[in-house]
Order: sequence, then structure tokens, then C-alpha cells
Amino acid sequence: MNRVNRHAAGALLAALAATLFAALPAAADSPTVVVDLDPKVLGVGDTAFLTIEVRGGVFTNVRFDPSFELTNFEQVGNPASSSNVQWINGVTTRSLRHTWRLQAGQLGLATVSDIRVQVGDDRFDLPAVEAQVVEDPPASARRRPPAPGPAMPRNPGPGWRLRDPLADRFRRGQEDEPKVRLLAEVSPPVAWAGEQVTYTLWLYTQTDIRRISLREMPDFNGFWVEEIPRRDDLPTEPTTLDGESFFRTPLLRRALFALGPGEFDVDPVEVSLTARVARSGFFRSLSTAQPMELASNPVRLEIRPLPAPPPELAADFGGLVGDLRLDARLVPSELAVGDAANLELTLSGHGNVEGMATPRLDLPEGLSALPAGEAGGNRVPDVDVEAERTWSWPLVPERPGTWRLPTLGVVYFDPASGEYRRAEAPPLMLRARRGEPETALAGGPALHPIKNAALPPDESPAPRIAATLPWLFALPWALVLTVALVRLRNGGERRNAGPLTRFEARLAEAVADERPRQTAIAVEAAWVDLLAERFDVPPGTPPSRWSAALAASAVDARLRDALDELIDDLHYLRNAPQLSTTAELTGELAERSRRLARRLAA
Amino acid sequence: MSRLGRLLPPALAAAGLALALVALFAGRPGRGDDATATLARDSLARGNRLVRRGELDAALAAYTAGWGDGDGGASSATLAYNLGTTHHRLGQLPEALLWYRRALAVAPSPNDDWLRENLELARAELAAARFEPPGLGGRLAAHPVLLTTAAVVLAWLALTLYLARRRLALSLPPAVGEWAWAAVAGIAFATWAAVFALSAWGPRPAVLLAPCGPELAAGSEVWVTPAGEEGWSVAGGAEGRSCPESVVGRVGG
Repeated sequence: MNRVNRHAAGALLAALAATLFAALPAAADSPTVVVDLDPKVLGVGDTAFLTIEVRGGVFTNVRFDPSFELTNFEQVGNPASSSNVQWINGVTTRSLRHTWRLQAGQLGLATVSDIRVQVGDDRFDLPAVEAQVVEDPPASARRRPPAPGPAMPRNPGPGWRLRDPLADRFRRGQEDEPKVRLLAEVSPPVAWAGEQVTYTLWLYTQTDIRRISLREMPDFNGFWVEEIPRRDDLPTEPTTLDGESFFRTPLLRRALFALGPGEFDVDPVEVSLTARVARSGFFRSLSTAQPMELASNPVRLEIRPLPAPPPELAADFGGLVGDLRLDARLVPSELAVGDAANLELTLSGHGNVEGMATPRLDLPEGLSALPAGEAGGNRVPDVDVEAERTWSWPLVPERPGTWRLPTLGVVYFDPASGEYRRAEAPPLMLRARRGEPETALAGGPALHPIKNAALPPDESPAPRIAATLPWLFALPWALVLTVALVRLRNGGERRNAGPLTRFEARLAEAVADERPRQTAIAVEAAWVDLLAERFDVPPGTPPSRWSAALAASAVDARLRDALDELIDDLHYLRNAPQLSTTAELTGELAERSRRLARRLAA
Repeated sequence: MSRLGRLLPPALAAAGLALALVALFAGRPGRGDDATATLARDSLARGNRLVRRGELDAALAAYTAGWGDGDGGASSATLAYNLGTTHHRLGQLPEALLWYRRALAVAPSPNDDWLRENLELARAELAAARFEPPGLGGRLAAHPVLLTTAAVVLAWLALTLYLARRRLALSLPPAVGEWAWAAVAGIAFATWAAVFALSAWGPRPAVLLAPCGPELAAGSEVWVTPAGEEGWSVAGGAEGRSCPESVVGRVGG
């Protein structure tokens, strides 16, 4: 019994597994680990295949570190690894598988025990598997490792002829030879380091194939290998090979990414199959199943080194090769201070993005980002690998504001053009409004949206008032102008009608008073008002100076003399004895006043 | 009554009437007609459709086409507000601030919370300087409607004094009663003329759309006066500095 530590599986496998799993979602289901040994019955020296497969689970920073003990088995060569990703009903399922070739020793029981697999922090102890080594195993169970010499036929090319391993035992003579071919091809045969190369194994056949199993897979040393699962519904397609008609179907496909430049030989693939063989002779109408072992042709790949990147892109080039694009989105683009927006950066396209480091995010002042999360992986359609990797950062605004996020980009080598390019995401804007009052006291108000044309218009009176002001300014001047012009036109008569009428009315009132003193005072007061209104004689002017005041207004001297005589008579009346008869004098003064006033007004 | 006393009232009234008519036909303050209002409304609707489709740059062009001289009445105020909001969403904060100010100048409604809050948000985000109007002229220019209203009030006071001048002459010294209305009329003329003078040569509010010297950052709210071919001279904040026309966004016309 010998202990086999799978640390010896090589640093490459560990690195591949760690990087592969690092891109898987952290929220996946718990992983499951299965082990299988095939076949269960085999002969001495035959080869069995031990497969350990991890499906699903938390794969971030996983360590897939299997170990087991072999009893009556001997490991042959290094293990083969493959990975697979499937999307079923929106759920990503990923698996990683290692396969070891074990050569049976002596007759009896051969076992693989103490199988332990470390996946991340989980350790799985798997049950032992065993096989029976017998002297005469069934032919279908015979799997011998390739050995030097012609132990197994190799397919040298399209003209390769199949070999019937049972032909020596059963000489069937007249039976028809089943025409089955295996052809391996790579596309493109000359590629850049890191460029995706598709390895395809084609099965060409002219007869029915009832059973087929892989016996030997190439190691693909020097390549990152992604399995392209074979679809069960792939149709066979008619084709021609060496002038003969065949149907062909892809048996397997692998996406290869060269880890470095050089020339690489990919070993043949060996398969076991059972073909239907038509019998000749008496039982010609019958057919039998004929086991066959086939090998494909080896293929050679030439991997060219990448040219030196231009100086302006060299600093940002991280080894990406392929036809890639970069998208970014920000959800939401408007938020309140204290909330977080999710910035997603997605790199996708044809190429291998598994090993790309997290892009650097340089944020403007006022914005901060939480640690980035990663998700995504490779999607594998029919013929090649489409990569998609997403980084997400929660962005937290520290204050209200608007930010234009810096343009994010990655530099990659485009194998189609042979040039370095930069994939850039579209520019993004983030707006932060004031948060809740108790949490964002320093913030300003939120940005209100545009106003809809259907909304009622602004009813502010200010514009109407402003438009009315010139009219309001014009109106008083128009009134003044009107009044002034009317007065100018109809000046004399209309201008004096009012004071004279009032004067005469006051004279009438004064005469009605039987007391001469009061009559004289009233007449004198009527004159004061008349002279003030008509001739602008100040009301406080003493009667003795009325004549002089009227002289300033160019009043005729005779009228001024008559006014002086009237004033003297009024003075006499004011001082007349109470017993004297003054009725005639009062009436006469009133009449003289009326006549004089009319003459002055004229 | 002297000849001057008879001819002065119609002469002053004619002068006042002429000043008012000049204001009316010179388009100050704002004028508007149905055509410009219709254009403003159509541009507003078209710009709003583009905003809803996320075509902000095209929306800006549509809004601007309807703005004209801002004579579209209430629609112009909404246009200016939407222009400010769209610039704001594009991160063009100085332009947003300018259009918010223009919206406020067109319709200074005290109830427009959206406009005032967006304006304050733009100011907070810009954190640029904001200068007060310079001197008495700037303070008067900051309130043109108030100054115009004062002239109107003085005109009506002059009318009242004119009509009551003879009665005033009985209770006041004759010269005071007779000529007080003329003095008030003169003050009204001077006030009205000051509105024109300030609008032509006085300081006016502006928003700098780009930095103008080290002390005047983009988004600064300053006061500028015409400086001939040199553009505009800053009168409020960094006095004397000349800024090119392309940098100065005037709030008024």
C-alpha cells in the first residue's frame, strides 16, 4: 500500500483550481463531491480511471486538495482536469473534475481508500472504491495504458485504418469492415499566447455506433483548459473524407488558452467503441456489434508570443487576450446621502478573463466605495468560451452633490487585429440628494424634476405688475396734461366762476345779518378769500395793503381806488354805533362789492 | 397767475407722458405677445418629451429655442426652470445656477419651492462665491421693479399736489403750495430715468460659467458692468477684473 499525496498533482492544477473557483458566486449552494472508479472489473495491467468531481458550493479561494491511498493500483502519469459550467433555469452550476489513471496490479481486489477532499474550509471523507482484478476480464473492460511501441494504434491522419482487436481471435472472414475515423483538429493552429484555441475531436463514421467511451485524453500541458460540454442533441452532419462519404459529429471540444509561447504537441485521444458490422454470406442480412479501439491524430499548435504593448497602454495591460467589451451601470443613479448605489462593471467577450485582477476604482472627492464583489465566469456555447466577469462596488456619497464617475477601462490584446486596445465603459453620473433630516443635516434640498407643461402656469403677479408699471406712470401725467390744457383753453371765465359765485353767496349771507359789525367782518372775509383765490393775495395781508398786492397783478388803478373806498366804508360800518341805522349802508356796500368783484374778475 | 405758472403744468405732464411711452415702446419692463408665449409652450412640451426619453442634450436645445428673450410669460419661467434642472442633471452646475436665477428673475414667485430649493442645491454643490450688489447703484439695480414702482407713486403724488395746489396755497406759504407738485414731479422723472440709466450702464447680476481669474470660480454669482470690447467688468466681487463675454452669463437680458 502506498500513500499518494495529490500535492504532487502539480502546482499548475492547484493554481488553475484556485483561480477558476475564485470567480464563482459566493452565495452558491454547498459543494458536493463524488468519486467514481471505472471499470469495476479489469485484468492484470489494465487501466482503471478514478474520477473525483466537485460540484457547486462556495468556491471562492477554494483549495481542491484530494488525497487517497491505493491498494493493488499504481498511478500512471499525471491526472487530467476539466471544468464545466452550466446555466440551468437561471442557476449556475459549476464542476471541477480530476481523473487519474490507475494500473491494476495482481489478481484480486484493488482499492482506493482514505479518499479525502479539501474544498475550501470543508473536508470530505469519501467512501472507498474498489475493482476486481481478474484473469480474464471482459473485453470492454480492458484499458491498458499507452506503452512504447505499437501497443495501440495511432491515427496518423485521415487515411488511418481502424484496427479490430478481436480480429485475431475471431476470424470472421467475409464480414464488412466498419469505417470509423477519429480526427482531431485545432482552430486556429497558430495563435497568440492567451488566445482561445478550440480543440475538437470529430468522429467520422459510416455505420451505427452503439457505445463509445474515452480511454485516453491528452494532457494539454501548457494550456489552461476549459471543457466545452457536448450537447446530446447535436446532429450528425454529412461530409466527405478521402473521397468517401461519412457522417461526422464532435465527440468533445476543449477551449485551450496557451500559458506561454512555443510549439505544443497534443497527444491523440483514444476511445473504445462498439460499431455495428454487417455480415456477409449466408447471414448477410444480419449485423453484429464489433468492439473497436481508435486513436485520433496528434496535432501541433504554434503559440506566438504577444508583441510588446505600446508605452501608453503598457501600464494598464494585465494579460487579457481576446475580443472583449466593457460595460458599466449604476443602480440607482440618484439616491439620498447615506444610501448606497451599486456600480457594476462587466467585462465580457471571447477570451479568458478568469485571471484578471480587480480594476482600480479612483473615485472623486465626496464618494467612497465599499470593497468590491466579484461574480461571473465562463459561458460555454457550442464552439468556444464566452467569458463574463462582473465586479461590483457599493458607492456611498458622503454629501449631497453630483459626480461624473471616472471612465473605467481595461487594456487587452485583440488577436484578430494583432493590436492592443482599450475597452471603456460609458460615463456614469451619480447624484446624491439630501438624506433624512436627522441623518444629513448638512445636505441641501433634493433636486426637483422638470415642470410638466400640463401643470398650471406660474401665477406669480410680478410679471403682470411689471408690465403695468409704465401705464401707471403714464396715467397721472395724462391727467395733469388734460387738466392743464383745459384750464389753459377755458382759463378766464371758468377759472373765475367758482370764486365769484361763492363771493356773492357770502355777501348775501353777510347782508342777512342785522348786526353791522358782523356784516362788515363777513364781507371783509369774503374779499379775503376772493383776492386769495383770484389774485393770489395771501390771506394774511391786511386790507390796507390789498391795493398794493393787486398792483403786483397789474390790476387797474381805478379798480384799486374803488376797492380802497370800499374798505374805508367797511371800516366805518365795523365801528358804527349799535343804535344808528345802517341798513341802507349795508345794502349799498354789498352791491358795490358785487360790482367791483365782477369788474375785477373781468 | 404768471405765464410760467400756466405753462409749466402741461409741460411737465407732457414730459412725464413721454417718459412713460418710451418705457412702453422700448420694451422695458418685460413685454410679451401670443406668438412668443405659444413658442415657449411648444418648446416646453417638446423638451419635456426629450427629457422623459433621456435625451437631455436634445432637450436643452428644445428649451433654449423656446426661450427667446424670456418674453413667454409663465411658460418662459418654466422653460428657464427646466433648463436649469436639465443642466443640473447633466452636472453642468454653473449653467444650472444661471437658469435658476433667470427663472427667478422672470417670475419671482415666493411660492415656487422647487425653483428655490433647486437653486439652493446648485449653490451648495458649487460652493462658489456669491457677491452682494455693489454700492447704491447695485442695490438699486437689484430691485428694478421697486425703483419703477417708486417712480409711479411719485407721479401720482405729483398729480394729487397739482390738483390741490390752490387749497395748499391757502394753508401753506403760497410758493410752497404752488410748486410742491412740480418738485415731486421732478423727483418722479429722476427716479424713472434712473431705472433706464441703471439698465443701460449700471451693474447687473451674472453667473460665471467658467473661472475668471483665481478668485472667481465657475458658478460665482457676481455683478458686472459693460466693458466694451473687453466683455464685462466685474463690479461686485474682484472689482475691476474683466471677464470675456463667453464666461459671463447674465441673469437679465
